[in-house]
Amino acid sequence: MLKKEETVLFKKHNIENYSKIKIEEIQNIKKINLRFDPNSKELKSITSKILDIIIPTIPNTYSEKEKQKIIWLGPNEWLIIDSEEKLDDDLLNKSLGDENASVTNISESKTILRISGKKTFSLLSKFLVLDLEKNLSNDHLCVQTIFLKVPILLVRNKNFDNIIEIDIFINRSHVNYIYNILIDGTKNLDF
Amino acid sequence: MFLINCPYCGERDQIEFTCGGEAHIIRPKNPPDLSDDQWADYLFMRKNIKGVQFERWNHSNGCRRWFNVVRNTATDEIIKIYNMGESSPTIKGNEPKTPSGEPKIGSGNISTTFEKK
Amino acid sequence: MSKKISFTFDGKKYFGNEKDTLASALLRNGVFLVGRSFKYHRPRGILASGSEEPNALVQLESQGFTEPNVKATEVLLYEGLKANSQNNWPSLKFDIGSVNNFLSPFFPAGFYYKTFMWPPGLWKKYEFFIRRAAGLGKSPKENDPNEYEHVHYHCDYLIVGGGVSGMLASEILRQGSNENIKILLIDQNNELGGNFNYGTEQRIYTKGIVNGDEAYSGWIQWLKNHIKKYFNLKILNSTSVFAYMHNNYLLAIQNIDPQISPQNKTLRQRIWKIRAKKVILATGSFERPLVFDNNDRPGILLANSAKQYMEKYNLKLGKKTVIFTNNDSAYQTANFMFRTGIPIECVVDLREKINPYLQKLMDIAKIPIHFGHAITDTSGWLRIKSIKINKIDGKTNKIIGKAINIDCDNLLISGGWNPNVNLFSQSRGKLIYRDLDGCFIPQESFQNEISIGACNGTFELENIFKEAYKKLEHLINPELLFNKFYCEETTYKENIKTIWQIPSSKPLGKTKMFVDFQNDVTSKDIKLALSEGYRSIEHIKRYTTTGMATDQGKTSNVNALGIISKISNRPIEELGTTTFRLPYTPITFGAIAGRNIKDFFDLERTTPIHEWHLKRGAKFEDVGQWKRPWYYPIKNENMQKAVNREVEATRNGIGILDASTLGKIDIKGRDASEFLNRVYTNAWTKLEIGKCRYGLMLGDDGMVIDDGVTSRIGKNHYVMSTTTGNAASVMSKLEDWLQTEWPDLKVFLTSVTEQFATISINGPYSEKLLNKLCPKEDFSNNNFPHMSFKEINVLGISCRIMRISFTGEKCYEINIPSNYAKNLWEICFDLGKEYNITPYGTEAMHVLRAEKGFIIVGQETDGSVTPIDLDMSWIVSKKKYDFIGKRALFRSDTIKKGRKQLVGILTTNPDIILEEGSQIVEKITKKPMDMIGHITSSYYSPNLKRSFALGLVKGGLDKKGLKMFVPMINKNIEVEITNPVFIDPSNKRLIA
Repeated sequence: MLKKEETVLFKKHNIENYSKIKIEEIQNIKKINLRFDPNSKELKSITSKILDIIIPTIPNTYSEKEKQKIIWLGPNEWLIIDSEEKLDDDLLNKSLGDENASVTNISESKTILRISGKKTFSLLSKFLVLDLEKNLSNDHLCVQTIFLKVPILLVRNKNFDNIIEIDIFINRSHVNYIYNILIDGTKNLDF
Repeated sequence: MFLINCPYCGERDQIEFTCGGEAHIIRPKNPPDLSDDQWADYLFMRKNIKGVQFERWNHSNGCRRWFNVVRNTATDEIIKIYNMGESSPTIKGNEPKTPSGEPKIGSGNISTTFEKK
Repeated sequence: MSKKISFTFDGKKYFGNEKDTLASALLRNGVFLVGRSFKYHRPRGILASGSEEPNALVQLESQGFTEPNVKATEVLLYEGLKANSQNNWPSLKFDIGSVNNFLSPFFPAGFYYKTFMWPPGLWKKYEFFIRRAAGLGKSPKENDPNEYEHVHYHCDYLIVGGGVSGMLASEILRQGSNENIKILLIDQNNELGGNFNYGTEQRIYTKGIVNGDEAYSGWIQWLKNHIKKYFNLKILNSTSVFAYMHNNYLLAIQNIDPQISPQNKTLRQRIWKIRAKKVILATGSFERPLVFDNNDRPGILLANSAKQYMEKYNLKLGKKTVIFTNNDSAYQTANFMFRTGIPIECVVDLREKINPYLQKLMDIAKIPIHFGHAITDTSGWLRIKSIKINKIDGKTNKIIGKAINIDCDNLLISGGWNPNVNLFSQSRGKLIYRDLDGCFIPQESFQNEISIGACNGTFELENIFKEAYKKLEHLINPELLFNKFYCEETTYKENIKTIWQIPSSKPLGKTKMFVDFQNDVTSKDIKLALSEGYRSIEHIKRYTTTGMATDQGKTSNVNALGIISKISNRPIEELGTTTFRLPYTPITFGAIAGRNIKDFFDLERTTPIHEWHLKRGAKFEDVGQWKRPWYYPIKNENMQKAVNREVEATRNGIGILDASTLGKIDIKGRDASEFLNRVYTNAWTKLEIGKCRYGLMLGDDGMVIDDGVTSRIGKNHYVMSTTTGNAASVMSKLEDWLQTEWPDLKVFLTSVTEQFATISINGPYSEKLLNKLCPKEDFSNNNFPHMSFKEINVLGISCRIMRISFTGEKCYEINIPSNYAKNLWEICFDLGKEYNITPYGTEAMHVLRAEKGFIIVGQETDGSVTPIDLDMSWIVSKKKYDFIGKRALFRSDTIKKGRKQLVGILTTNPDIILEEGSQIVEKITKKPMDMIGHITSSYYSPNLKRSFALGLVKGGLDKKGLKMFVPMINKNIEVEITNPVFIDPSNKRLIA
């Protein structure tokens, strides 16, 4: 059996401002890209039945149940994430068929960096032109944008103790660069 | 760095988008029947208007959807945004003046006289 | 007593106070001479007190910390500050360049254009001297040890300027809005209040909850303390907004801890990138100098700036002060000086009288006023010594009577006020000229913006209060305002007599009336430009360089316009203004770069196997953003030796390549085959499941844009591979066709580039390695032929394996989910040791594919090459009615004879390796030679034991066997045009 690489990060850093900000890599999340025309009631009901979650049709939102989230990526595109890796994408694939839908496992092409702490938005505002307070004002919101030159997806998780927690989905190959520049950004967070 | 109102995602910064050039250039359905000149027309000839221009834009760092934009290229004012496949809207009003003409405002021009659809 | 702070200027040590700027500290120490002027090297002193300062530019600090052309008026003093004067040699007090002052008739406007044009060959010699003479400070040679960063900020209201108008606006908006409204107040000083801290004798009253009837000083202090308390109001001090761009996007630069030396801190500056829903400009105004003969001597200051130095910094500037004015505002300075006991010799006023209240004040102070007089000349070299004043005819503005000489060591001038409309103008708002006081004021906004206070031409305090409420009323809920401020009638009225160019008893040609102090432009330069026929204000600006220095003409532009107007007899409003450009104030390169330097300069992408390559000591090549192993040297091996070894190992044993960077696109849906038919030149419908096919992708202009192998995984499922560099652009182009041209096709594209790592195992023993890896599978030619595809379980992980080859060797490409790739690579490496498994990099890959005549898109093609030019017509379907690029292959230009075609090229001398990009000629003639092609790829082949190359040659397919030449600087290399396939033309090795 082949050994699984646990992390894509080459080197982990200690953050000086640890009380204000935390950055960690979230591993072992199954990620499925789902495409179909949402006007097809049939495909929609098959999906909802298998996943037992409503497919979000409002842009930049996600729906959630226990360990699974369905994240809106476009009018006919979603990202399903499952932190227990239980999701049966083969079943979904077979049930939806390959003519009018597409189910693609992209678990290993995207890496998740989770940023949390009261300075989360301050840190991200160094790199994102996006209005974070508007676009990620509360949970169940997600947004696709550009981080320096990299396309990323940001998902705001449910608050715990009023601490903002954001998951950033980044192409695997970019993670080390992004992680290092994020760590660099934690040096000055009071502005 | 102007703002573009993506029909799906809402108002975002220009850096999330890519411009795909002039809109409403349809790829001919019968290329073999076309003369060289007709094909070259489709392939190479583009308007480059200082003023109101119809363009294709893609929210490349967002939802990846294409849509059409009516933009005043002299001021970067976005007059209208509409979906792919929709026919080009009529933009009423006077043609805005160009910066080298007699600007109505500042060194650029503005289409305050434009009726926004 | 405040703390003493030591600093040095030109190597000499001085002491200043805690709140001093460098300028006030220099004045405190009696240093009036601070620089030499740009062209004439005339001694210059501090003129102003803020960002408008044209003269007092210094070189701050040294080595990596140094910054040239810093305005002494904008630098807050810190312990150990080191500054040097600029533009002088050997010293500030004795500057050899000042000989230019006496040669000034030879340095008229456009001097360089006129003088250094001819003969053209001498330009390089001139340039050396011009470069030495031009410029002010010196740019640093060392790396800047400080850091700079950028942040983005979004707010509802951005208020630019923390003077009375800006503070008032923020208080009105904050009180009148709900708590969710975000307000940002930016001020360039380290303390709010602007001129108001030391600028008026007016009383402010308030109606409402807060008790009123407080004097102004109390009010400003109350407001300063008060507005700091609110969480929805953010205040940035020591920050300058320098750019106003589209959709209320503004850039500001913040000086971090300006009272700490850069050597004692890491972060020096921060750029704020602000998007505001509404912008309130309260940027104030600049005092205008008066243009008279020799108006630039050290000791001449703007009257209000001088008042700041005296009031805020508690300085006594001179022993004998004269004030020269054309308006009321300078009398505030006079009154202040009287109250604090600083003597004034006299006031020279261009006007015939002043209002009775002011006259009474001056009578009490016993300050003599020369009404209807003007200063017509000054003397004093390193500091002003005396002035000449003359009576002026009130109607003709001409000199009458004899000059009176007055001794003085300090001259304070005031020519009225210019609203600071730079940002408003950058926002593309339209200005209008107000003749009453010679001001350009905002007329019509282009963006969602409001100008208030002095920058809107509202100078009188009572009106500033009224205007702020009036202009902001519609934004707020007035019921929420819990107090309202107002002000009694203003003493100092706008009452100005403008004479743009004060007359002189000398002819204009003998005068030095400076308009632009920083670029040394005089009124006679402007006259010369006009007499030489320049008319447009933009042309006159460039020809004379007025307003083009680092101060962007803050003190000079309006005076220049006034003089042009007078000389050319055209009204100012007809001339218009020149464009106000960003940045409003100079920005350091460090700030522009931010943190995107060194390791963060550009994005880097790495493959899942990257760490192994690092450990193996690979040298890396940048392929787009990817870091790809270039070659893996062993010990002291040089590149050629390493590449030779890698190439030979691949041909004779096993070569293993990390090909993870290739683009991979999952194509799914009912119309997947039809889609491929349309985007590739060949036919796809009949491709069997489990088979692979090579495809060429064209643009609709018929030119090759990408190539790669596509495998059919299911009836409606393909996986396409693209070149590394084009992965993103191919994906977006395909998505473009689907969304905009063929919305009827049911096809879904998903990038799986990073889902799978690709390990390419090449060489005669590759099958043996695969057998060892998966003993139960059959990898033989029969079961797993060339150009086929299988999903195989490799050590517990399902992999997509393709039997395709980019080397000409028998090859298996394993696509494995990325998390397992490194381990599989390591296992392959262990298992392959007996076959001399050798990792090879991109250089060996290039050699291997070129030996086989395989093209690389972007190397053999450059956007002007068709498949026919590549001799690849076999891949272009004749049967398909249409595909992208098909029609263009029959355009007159693409079918014409003599197009450049792909050929092999061998040097007669096998040891010479041609340079890529070098030109090919048929015969050596006199230059210029007729170039008929160029080299696209060139290498040494250890298998051929010689050099070889690929190239594009006009009509090359018919020229095989002919001798040609590659002319280089010192030799002409003879070459032969050949077939581009150098190894195994019959493909025996592929199925060996």
